[in-house]
Amino acid sequence: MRQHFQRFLAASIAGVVLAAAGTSALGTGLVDESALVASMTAAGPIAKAAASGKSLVPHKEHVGKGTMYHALTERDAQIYFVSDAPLEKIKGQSNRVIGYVIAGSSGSPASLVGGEWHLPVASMKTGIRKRDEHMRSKDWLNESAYPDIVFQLKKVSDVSLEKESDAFATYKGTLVGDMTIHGVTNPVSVKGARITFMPQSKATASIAAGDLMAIRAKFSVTLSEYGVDNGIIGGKVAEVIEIDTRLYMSTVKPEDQPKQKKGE
Amino acid sequence: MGPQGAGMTKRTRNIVLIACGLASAGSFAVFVATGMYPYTRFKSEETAAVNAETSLTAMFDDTGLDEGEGEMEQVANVTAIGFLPSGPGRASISVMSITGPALVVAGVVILVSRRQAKNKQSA
Repeated sequence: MRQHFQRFLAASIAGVVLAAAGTSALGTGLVDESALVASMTAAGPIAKAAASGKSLVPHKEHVGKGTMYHALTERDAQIYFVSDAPLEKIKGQSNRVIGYVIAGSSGSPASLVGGEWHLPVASMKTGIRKRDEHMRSKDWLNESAYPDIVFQLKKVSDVSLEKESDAFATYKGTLVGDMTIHGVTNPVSVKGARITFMPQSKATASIAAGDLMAIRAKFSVTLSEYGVDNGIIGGKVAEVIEIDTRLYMSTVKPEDQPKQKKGE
Repeated sequence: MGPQGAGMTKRTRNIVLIACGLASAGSFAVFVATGMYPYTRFKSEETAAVNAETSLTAMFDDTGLDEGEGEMEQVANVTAIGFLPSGPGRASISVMSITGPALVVAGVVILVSRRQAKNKQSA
């Protein structure tokens, strides 16, 4: 009887301790360095952040190639991601994306010439602090070594006009570029992206200065292709992460925008 | 232990068992009432700031930007007792971290009271 009781007590305490230790979705694991090297492609030089930290210093080859739009950071949510694993569904978001894009010629503005966006790993929030810490750790996105997720836009193909009025024009196209996550770069092609241009007007001026533009795109990222190969993947964290982006941009940099209060 | 002591033990046992049951049931009820999240979570100003849309989103509403995709989802900004704890401190409160110790205490109380009953019989 005493032995049974001791076993029961030990098992119960062990269970509680394990639970209380924070068995959050992202635990420890190993990064497969060989996979990292194998999937690595040559990445172009990464643009530097401006002194304000709210925009990027454009690449020299992009300057003067067309109208430049800057991501309006620290406003509406720009990125939403979902990991739908059998044991847990993790949702996360950020509104700290910085970057720019160069519009195409006036006849086909959605044929974007190029651009680059940076998503700071530290800005990705899932609603649970401990899990966010795990996500930033060396076992996952390794924020200390790779502080940003970077998308370098090369071109937009298959452009078609979808909707138009005096105030805006919306196009559909395929974003083609390179995605760098965890220091690994892979080519990415995002079909069905929507790009809306909205020239400055009285209505837009009260909300954001400059000509405006927005991009909406949904795509997925396979973690192992970016050297994130962890024992938990497949159970608590999905191998494929679904990403939804809605980036608002303006010809006026975010640091030069008039201050905007939330809800206005 | 005399008859009065045995009575006290039984009453104490019942009180402890009821308390453990209430704690477990209460934590489970709060878990269900707060949305049955797997992990305990708390509201944050950071999440609230991201979720608060400026009129930028409204301005692009009818442009076809979201055609076929719908509204972009958001991370829920809620306080909820989860089934499992999500970290140290207040984040350690969960169904498991309340029910687990309650079960241990209940088990101990039952075993002790049975042993006392046995001892009483053999005496």
